[in-house]
Amino acid sequence: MNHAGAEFRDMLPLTPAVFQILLVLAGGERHGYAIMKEVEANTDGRMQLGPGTLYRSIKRMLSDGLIEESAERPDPALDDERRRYYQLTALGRRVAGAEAERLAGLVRLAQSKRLLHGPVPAPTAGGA
Amino acid sequence: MATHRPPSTLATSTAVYALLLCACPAGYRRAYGPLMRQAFADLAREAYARHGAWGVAALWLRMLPDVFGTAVGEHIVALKERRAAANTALAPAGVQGGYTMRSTLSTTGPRALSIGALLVGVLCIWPFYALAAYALVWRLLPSNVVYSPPFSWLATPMLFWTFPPSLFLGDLGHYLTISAAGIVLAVAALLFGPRRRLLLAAEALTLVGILAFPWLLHYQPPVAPAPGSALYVTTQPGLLDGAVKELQVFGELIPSDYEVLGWSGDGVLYYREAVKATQTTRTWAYTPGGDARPHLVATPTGIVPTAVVPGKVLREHVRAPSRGASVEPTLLNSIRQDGAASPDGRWAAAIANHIYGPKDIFIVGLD
Repeated sequence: MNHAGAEFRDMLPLTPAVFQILLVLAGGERHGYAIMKEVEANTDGRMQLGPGTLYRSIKRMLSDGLIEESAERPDPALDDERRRYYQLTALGRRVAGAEAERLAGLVRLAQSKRLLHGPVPAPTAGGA
Repeated sequence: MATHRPPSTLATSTAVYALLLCACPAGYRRAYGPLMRQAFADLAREAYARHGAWGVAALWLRMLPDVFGTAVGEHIVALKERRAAANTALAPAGVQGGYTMRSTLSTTGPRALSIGALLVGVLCIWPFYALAAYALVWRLLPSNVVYSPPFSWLATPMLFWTFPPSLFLGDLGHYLTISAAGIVLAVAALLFGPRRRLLLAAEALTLVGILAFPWLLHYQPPVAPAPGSALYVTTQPGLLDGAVKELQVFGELIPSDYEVLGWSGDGVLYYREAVKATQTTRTWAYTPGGDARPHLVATPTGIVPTAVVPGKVLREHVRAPSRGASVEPTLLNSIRQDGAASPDGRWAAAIANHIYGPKDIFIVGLD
């Protein structure tokens, strides 16, 4: 494990809100409202981020270097130009992967204890 | 291209949300306030399109903890950042820490007091005064006017704003806690808060509003005596309890169920109260015609069989209190059960309830 890996592993575990936002941004850049709606859809409505929770998380993720503001602005004819778009950084992508690995490890543990049924997710080679 | 004006509910909601953002630290508000407001407006628009005004009301139930949690969290973050910045300076840690704390208290403290007092006013007190003012206008205006713009839309946001605080304040403990906190905050803000005339006036209004609240929300039972009839509402609360019970009317809360147990041979009415919050029951005794208040008893004694008084007969001796000149009150929903006549046939006791609100035991003279 290199030094950078150790550094970003210190960020784990992520809060559910931060992880969900990273998952959404893994699909491409989004603005705040789109992130809220996609998180809600991804969790079947179980997680509904409010604007406060969303932008507090975004503020922290920006300062941690997990995401960055996209320099590109949408065409004003297509979207509100006041919106800010966010995208994953390379660090954010690695941290999201590491968190996913961590969760998969927990799932494997739960399955080994016969708490879950179904196929065991295989660990990826070398971790995140 | 045709433009669609947003409904007033959305415009009002967004404006109120923008006002609530004032609770956040200034730096955070400058950076993220417009974005949060825009996200809220998008959510409100979607909620309105799907479920109308009730959708927006449901959205608010989610948004209030979200915005206040954010405000508290960001104030804590800002405080930590200031302390961290001061501790990295060259001055000795203890001196610097003390300076930071004093500086923080002297800048943030007065503002926090002011914001706290205004939040109590805006969220808990002022909406009821706005509604009372509207009701006053409602009484003065002919009914064909109050149901037309611009008056009809005024009631919706006000009822919308009084419903959530009624749910919370419709409990004596909560009501006293919020009132005490509001009084302390308002007095402290008046003494130590920012010396801005508008703020001071708002804080004074909050203080007066809290103190006058029990008189504003004087409890009105669901039945009133018909002309020439005698009526006792045994469950008529006192001043503070009355304000809470009136809030239960606004919040459509039914904290207690009642059951008329019967009359004793010497004319004492016994009734049972089932308190939902504590899952307990208690038995009360009351003698109509005297000055004595109802009192708790262990068990009813000497209950004798008496005649049943049909609801139709009860309704002839009472009327529904009018809550506005344009409201045609109905007793059909207030008195849903028959009553129990006293052994001498002079009185009848029964249960009356607000259509979606607290219940009362009333005794009406049958003479």
